[in-house]
Amino acid sequence: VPQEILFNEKCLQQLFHYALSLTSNEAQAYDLLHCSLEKYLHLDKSRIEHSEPYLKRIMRNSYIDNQRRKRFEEPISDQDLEKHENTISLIQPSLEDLFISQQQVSMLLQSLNGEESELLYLWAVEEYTFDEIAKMKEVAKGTLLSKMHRLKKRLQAEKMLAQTTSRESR
Amino acid sequence: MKPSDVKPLKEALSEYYQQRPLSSPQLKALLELQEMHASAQRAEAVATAIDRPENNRLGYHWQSGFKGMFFNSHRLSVLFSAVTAALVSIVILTLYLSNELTALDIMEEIAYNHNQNMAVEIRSSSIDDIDTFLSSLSFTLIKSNHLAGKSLTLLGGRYCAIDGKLAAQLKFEDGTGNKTYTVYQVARPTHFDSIEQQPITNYVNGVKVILWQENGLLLGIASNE
Repeated sequence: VPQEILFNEKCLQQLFHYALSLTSNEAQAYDLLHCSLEKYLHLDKSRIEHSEPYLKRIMRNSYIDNQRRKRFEEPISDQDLEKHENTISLIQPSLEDLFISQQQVSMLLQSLNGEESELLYLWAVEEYTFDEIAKMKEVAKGTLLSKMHRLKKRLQAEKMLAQTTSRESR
Repeated sequence: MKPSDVKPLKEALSEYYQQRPLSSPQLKALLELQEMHASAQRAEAVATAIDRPENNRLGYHWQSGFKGMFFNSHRLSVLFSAVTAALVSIVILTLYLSNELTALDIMEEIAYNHNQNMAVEIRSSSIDDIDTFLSSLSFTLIKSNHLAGKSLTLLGGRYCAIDGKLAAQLKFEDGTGNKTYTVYQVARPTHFDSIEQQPITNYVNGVKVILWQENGLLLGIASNE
């Protein structure tokens, strides 16, 4: 049976934002979405249960293919990971406590690599929990938290983010 | 950072993305891309259905009628031969007439497609790029010798349906950029084998249509005259 419109306007806007979270550039985000949609439309969709997550995966893979993987996914050493795994309860990234000037958001996103920007998007806009993101990305939650913790520290060091004093001691 | 200027990171990020929606032309292009693909799939489904033997009415009746007559009566062999000869004549005549009609039907389809003035699915001046993009076609697009002498610029291409089969529509413009031509390429139907290789010209609803065969394909060009 020929397919009809799979992705409506609302869905396309959301997918565009996801692409924007990867590329940090509106023109590149549109190109990524357009190319990925074309790829998706030509697939045999009889085995695809959920079209939107599948298209997101195509976008992500396409983006990574076009980037140097080592730049996209900053490696974490085993030692670093072990250290963080042992102290997860102490380093839960309290991103909810962080504040930023709206004017600095663009600068913030430009300073992130694709993976960091994607994680922030999934957390802030699509409102996934870190558990859900870890399952979606098929990575250990500890790995994800380590990355977020390191990101938070870096951004605070660069004075892009402020943290409420009352919660800092928590 | 002024206190009044800051907001929670989550809220600021959400606002940042909300302020960057797809533009209307971008949204339209993405929706059209899906519609065109669905349209191409429908055309392909129709073509597949037409190609099925059970839908070929002429073949079905001819075979069953012939088989029945042959096995039912040896005593009517003379009559059988006469009837067979008559049937063969009728079939040949019908096929000849149907070829003529089908060529006209196809020219009407081409004129209709031309008048639709649908946007191209891929913008490119390279026939190879368009061929790569239109990957569902069962044939490779060709550079027609009939168009070699004309100074036409290729603008792009899209899927369309000709004679119930998946076909390509290529859009060209002349040197002045004022006149648009659409060229159609489709796998040549088998009942077109007997048609002359020379182009046939006809005018349909104000559209000049030329139809010809080349390299195993049926080609047509349409322009407003």
